[in-house]
Amino acid sequence: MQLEGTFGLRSPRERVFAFFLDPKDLSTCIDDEHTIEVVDGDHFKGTVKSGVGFIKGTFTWSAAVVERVTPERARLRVHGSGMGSGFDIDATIEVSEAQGTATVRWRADVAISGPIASMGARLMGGTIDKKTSAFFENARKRLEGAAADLAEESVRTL
Amino acid sequence: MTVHGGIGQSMKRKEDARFIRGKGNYVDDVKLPGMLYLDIVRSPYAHARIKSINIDKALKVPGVLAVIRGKDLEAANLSWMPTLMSDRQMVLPVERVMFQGQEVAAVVAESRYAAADGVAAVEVEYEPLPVVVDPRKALEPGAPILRPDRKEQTNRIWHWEVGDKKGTDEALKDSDVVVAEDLYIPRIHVSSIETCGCVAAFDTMGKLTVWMTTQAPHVIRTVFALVAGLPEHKIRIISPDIGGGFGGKVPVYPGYVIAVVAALKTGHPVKWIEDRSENIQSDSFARDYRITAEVGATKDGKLKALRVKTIADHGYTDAAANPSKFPAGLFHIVTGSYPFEKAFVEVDAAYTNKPPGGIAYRCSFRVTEAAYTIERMVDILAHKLGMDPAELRMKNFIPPASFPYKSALGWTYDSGDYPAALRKAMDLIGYEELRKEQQEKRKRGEYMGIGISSFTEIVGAGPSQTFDILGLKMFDSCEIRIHPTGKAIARFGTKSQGQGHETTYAQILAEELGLSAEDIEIEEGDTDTAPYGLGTYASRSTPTAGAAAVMAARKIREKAQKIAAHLLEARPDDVEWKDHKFVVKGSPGKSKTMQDVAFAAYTNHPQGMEAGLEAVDYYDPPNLTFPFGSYICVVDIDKETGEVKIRRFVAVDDCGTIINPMIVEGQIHGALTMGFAASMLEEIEYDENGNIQGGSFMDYLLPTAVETPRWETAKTVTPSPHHPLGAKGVGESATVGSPAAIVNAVVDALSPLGVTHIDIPITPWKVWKILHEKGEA
Repeated sequence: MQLEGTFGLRSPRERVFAFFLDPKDLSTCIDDEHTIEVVDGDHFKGTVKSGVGFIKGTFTWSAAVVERVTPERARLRVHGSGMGSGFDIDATIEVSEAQGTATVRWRADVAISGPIASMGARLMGGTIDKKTSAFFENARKRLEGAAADLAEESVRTL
Repeated sequence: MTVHGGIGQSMKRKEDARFIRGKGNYVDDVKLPGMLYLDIVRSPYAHARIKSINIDKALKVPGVLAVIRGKDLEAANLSWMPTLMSDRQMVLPVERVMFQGQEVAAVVAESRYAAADGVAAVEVEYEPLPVVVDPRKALEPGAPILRPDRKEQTNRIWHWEVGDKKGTDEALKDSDVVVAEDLYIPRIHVSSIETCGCVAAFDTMGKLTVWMTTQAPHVIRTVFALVAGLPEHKIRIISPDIGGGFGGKVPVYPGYVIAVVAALKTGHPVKWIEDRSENIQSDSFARDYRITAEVGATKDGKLKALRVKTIADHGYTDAAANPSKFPAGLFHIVTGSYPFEKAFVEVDAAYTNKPPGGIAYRCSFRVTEAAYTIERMVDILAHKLGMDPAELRMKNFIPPASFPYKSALGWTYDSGDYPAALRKAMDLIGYEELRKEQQEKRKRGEYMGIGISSFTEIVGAGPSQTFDILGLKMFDSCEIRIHPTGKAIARFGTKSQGQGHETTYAQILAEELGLSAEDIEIEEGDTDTAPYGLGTYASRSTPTAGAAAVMAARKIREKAQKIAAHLLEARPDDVEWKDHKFVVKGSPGKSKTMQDVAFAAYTNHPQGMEAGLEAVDYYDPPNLTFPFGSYICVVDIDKETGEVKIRRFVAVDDCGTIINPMIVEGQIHGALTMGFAASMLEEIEYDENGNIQGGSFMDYLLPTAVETPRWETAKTVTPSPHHPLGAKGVGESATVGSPAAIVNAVVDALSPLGVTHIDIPITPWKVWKILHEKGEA
């Protein structure tokens, strides 16, 4: 399943790019109950309690940054498993900047396998769409909030 | 003298006394001291390399005693086993998984709950591999090779063809009219009420007993002996009561073998019972045929030639249960009820990343696919020619006087009267009036359709010169013992899964032996006691084991006649079997019943004669039997919702001599409902990653009484000339015949919009889309 989206925000490009590669920042964008652990600069892992409809459980996951062109483009691969099911996400984030506005283009190939994918087949598309959109909406809000805080701090400094 | 429960009587089913009171004894009812439970870890991926299987956490789960992996079986050369089609299937994988839901490891525990917890604790690391779910793509050059273990590095399992290719090509070229259509018969699942399972136990002498859900216990025992290397006399397979089979309980599933290994490993009896989703997601499937058919005819509607090309999706292994000489089953009955001059059929079977498929879902080896194809094509031709579909059929039927009839594809049909069956169906439904009504409704913009299917079945496999499974000839058997008091027990090589054998066989024997059907106990399914047989599927029980019952009973009568003569103080030649008793010719008052003879067989038999009254017969049918029927379906379509309502459905069946009309009618009702389900509801799809879409009853739709139409049934009787009773078998006829009638009716309704075909299942969404695209909804 392929998903993609674009959003813009008034925030420095470097800040936006760094946000998406910082596990602690990313963690604040995930609504489902989860843990996150930094293995090294390019590898993270953890657990997430998620599911489709009433079919919910805990998944263990690991993520690797497989491409990093600071501050333009990054690619992450995430693999998770649990409840006899698995998920694989191949996500690309491109950040551009024009006239002080950063534009984030994201694309995610999501593959779900196992009982979650088959039992929840009719709900799967909507659920993935909802969770992915929520993730990036949370990211946008966090970044915009950080930008506003930064602006406020600049004003106070002045 | 009329015997109670003789042939033709609608006696109530003997077995129902326990079934309707919840007293059946199914595999899951078997409980043994010290019994352990087995649950299976299944693959979430449709195709992946297994990088590791970590069982440490699972072994720490309280109650878990063992975890079995492929590499554990590999040491005993048991990680693979043969299928019934001489392919190989994994018991547990060592390197790769090939479909979602495949068995990966097994956990043995003290309770089913602990086993399930153990399954959740097994950690398997996979590396996903490219997935192929479309058999057409599997056959394309460059497709990933799914079975590198085979010598043939191709996804084509086999190519099979029959008929006169050149002659058919020429006949099609010479035809005034040729119609062609692509038909997809999707993957469906038998969905028996009872899922598969077993209990495996070794006794102190090392003898293995397996209670299992199998339609063919004797074949299973032989396969077990060959696979496991156990002496066959040290294996006992018991099929207790079975909650529906429909072909899905013929194959040997990995769970059976793993349970045996688990019993051997732990020294305890081990029970394995699938849950519903495991059953739907991993057991053998049916259908999944992609068919391109062409029919050539003269401009006045005389059928000339039929050419059929098919791609068969068998999943990751060919685990169908077809007779070995017929890899595409009996699909070449596809010429149906018509005397085509030329015909040619070819089938290519392909591997995909799906569970094994190709079993007969209440249909004798691909006969539904065949009947659906020809009956759809005849309708398509009728529409092309502007002829009434009934008229086209009547014009082309094999004439009753032509039987036995040899078809263009090599079958010899035993008997039939196709015009009579269709005429009867037309009269019952009021065909001509319905056509007038349809004309009126079309003028008003209403969508009403009438569909016909005049199918020919082919059942009763089969004659030993051509029919075998794994080399085992497809005879079947009956062993009868009459006790001194005139009661009897008869054992058979078949195995009922709900068909009513305990009643039908008792009625056959009642008729042949002059005993009450109530006094005859029927036993099947225990390989230690029953004579060897090939089992129950493909509507073969009455044609084969039913015939064996007749022959064994007649052997008994032969001996009994001598005893009767002894009792009547007459010469054996002067005694005859008449009116269900032995009578001295010309002296009707001097007679002996079978009960009299039975008592004498143990107390007063002639000098020099062996005591007792028993016989066994292994019946090798001289030919298959060819039941047939004509069905007419009337549908109304709701333009706003696309819902198809079956207003009437008349089914005229001819299964030759009828043993128990009530049971036959029940069989037809059940099979019609299954045909309706396949036509309107059932389909198992896969997404591009090989995820099953429809792996539970939330998504895989079965009809309830609410959705099921009211069936109107009738019969004609054309006995089989070679069966000792003239019986042909009926269990599957309606599953075979009904889908085409339903689809023909829907297409007929929508034909004013230019619709020529809709693939099953015909869902309201499909119909609504058509209506919407045509501006009608």
